[in-house]
Amino acid sequence: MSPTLGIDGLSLAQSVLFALLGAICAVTVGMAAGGMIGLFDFPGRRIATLFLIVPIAAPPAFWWIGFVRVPGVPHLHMAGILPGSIVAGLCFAPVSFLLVLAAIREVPPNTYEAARLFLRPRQRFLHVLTPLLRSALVGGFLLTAILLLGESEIPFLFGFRTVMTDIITGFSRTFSLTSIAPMAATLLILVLIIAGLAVRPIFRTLLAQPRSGAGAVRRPAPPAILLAVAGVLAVTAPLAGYVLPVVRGNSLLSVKLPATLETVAWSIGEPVLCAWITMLAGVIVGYSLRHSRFMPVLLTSGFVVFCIPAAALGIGWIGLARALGNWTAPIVLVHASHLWGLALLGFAAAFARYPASLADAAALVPVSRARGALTFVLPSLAPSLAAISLLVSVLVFSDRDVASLILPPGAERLMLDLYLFSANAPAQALGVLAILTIISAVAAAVLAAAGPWIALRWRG
Amino acid sequence: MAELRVKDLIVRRNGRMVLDGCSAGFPAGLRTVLWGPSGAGKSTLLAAIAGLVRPNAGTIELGMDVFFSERLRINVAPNARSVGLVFQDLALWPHLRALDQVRLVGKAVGSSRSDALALLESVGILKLADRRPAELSGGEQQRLAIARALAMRPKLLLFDEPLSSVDGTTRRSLRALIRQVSPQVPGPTIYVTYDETDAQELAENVVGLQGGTLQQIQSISEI
Repeated sequence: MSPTLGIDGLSLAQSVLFALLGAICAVTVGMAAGGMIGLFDFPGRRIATLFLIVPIAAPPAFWWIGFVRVPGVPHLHMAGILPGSIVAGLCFAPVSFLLVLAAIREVPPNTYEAARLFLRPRQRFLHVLTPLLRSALVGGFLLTAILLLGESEIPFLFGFRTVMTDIITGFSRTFSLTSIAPMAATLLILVLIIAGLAVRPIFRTLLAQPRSGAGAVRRPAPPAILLAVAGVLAVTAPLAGYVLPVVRGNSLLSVKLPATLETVAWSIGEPVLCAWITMLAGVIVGYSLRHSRFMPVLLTSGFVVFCIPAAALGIGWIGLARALGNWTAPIVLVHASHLWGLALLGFAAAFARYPASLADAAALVPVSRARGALTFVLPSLAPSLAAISLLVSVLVFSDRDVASLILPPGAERLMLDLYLFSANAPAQALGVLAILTIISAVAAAVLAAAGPWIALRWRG
Repeated sequence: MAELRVKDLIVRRNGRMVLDGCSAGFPAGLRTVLWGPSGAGKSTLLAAIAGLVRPNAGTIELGMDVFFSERLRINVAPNARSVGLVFQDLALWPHLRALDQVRLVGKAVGSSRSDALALLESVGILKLADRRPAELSGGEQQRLAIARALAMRPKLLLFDEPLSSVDGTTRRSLRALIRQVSPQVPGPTIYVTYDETDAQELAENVVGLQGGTLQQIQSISEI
């Protein structure tokens, strides 16, 4: 029997510091980006929005590995909590960005116009904009802190230990659940406390009431804002670290594809299947219980489960499978058990904005409830449901922790291969694999979003 | 005492011509009712005067102050125009108490807490100074919106159909309040409405807006 590994005070302190600094960085960047996109209009605003969301489509390590390979910064060897938290914070900034953007769309148009008329910019920011976005900022801060507590690659790359890295190294060494139990319990308690605090601000931001306006009025962006947007878009510059070696070596056609067709198919298929399953479950459960008093309990439970680090949940599934005998949990089931709350929250957020009078009008039509929902209500929610399906697929595609824990030895996935290649493969081979990974991620996201979109729009 | 002059004002929004070469003068010290059918561009004209909408062409001047001139490339920021506006939906800041709303706006012109309290007293909601907008009735919210517009000691005062959502009794008392406060500004007061009673009760001067152009009207009965 393996000895129990106790909680290390230094790792715990570093975990908290990493989460705190990273979340501050993420909220600062997220608010600045959300304010620029939400309050100003300029050509290419939608494309800029897409680029600002892209960093969440891959783990922070993917961006860092790409960044250090960008020509001009190849010998950048940074270490320690501060640079690590800045890098991770930048990569998780889309969480706060999306919440701030959602909150700005809920601000009644004239409320911010009144601030423009009566107040100076500094007063406007401090006394009107920031308080109106408080829930989104607090929710973004706490959610990012949770994600950072579960992050392990950046601490490994920047050479410091956290509770999460201790859990992973401890489990890899002993394969014993009891040996890591104290560390896992400490991390879970910390995460659950923060998740409990995050429920109210996140729900207040996402589950807003239907309204007629389209949020704060956007006005033409001055040159300074355009420059700032260009600066924030530099977050996606690490892609150049993967693409440039391939383009320069003219090797896109000459290099042998570093992944089999089977690996590509599994890498795309699993996220799509997972997204469709969770979305379908979210819609069925959410629509059936939309007026039930159990709905808030279910939403809260789903959100809290989503906050548990994927690796911790994966280890939990391994323990359950061992308890049930010689059984391995399917990876789609593990991901679905982690992300069902996100799909349910997505449905609830979309339905909260659906005008009650339209739902009442649909209820008056003499057709079955299921047919009424499929014909009148759900087609209107198709864009939101497609977006949530896309988000789930992206999160599953970018996962490395669950895949490395659950998949049998020898099984490959593009994101796993990418980490292996980053250690010692030539830059061109890594670049080709990265491009293949990005194309596959886009394919998975498009397929995942197309499912609910086609199913519901065709019905409607 | 400064007159507001709007000259050859053109505003296009989403490819549609809303104001098509508007020209008019709004005399200082007079309450001008801006009359027109729904969708005529009345609110857009007020927003352009306040600086919330940038016109495509034309000029807006208050006395010697140029607020907007396409030719001179002048577009003064909304908060630098000293314009008091009572929005149609009032646009009160939901998180601030009544006193804080008035104090915050008054800070720009050096007003003190006692000035803000005096302003709330003058519009009849002193006892409600610690309440947030959601804790006020519709009429009380209107009074707070008027107090907030006055807090910056505006040079001109704009009302964008603020009485459209209140009952008859409240409406009468608010009309009296508007008559009481409008002489406090040195420039004109412009009151947008399509309600005939409001127009008759408040108008000292009437300007019509139809088809994107302004025209002087002798009296409400002419409409």
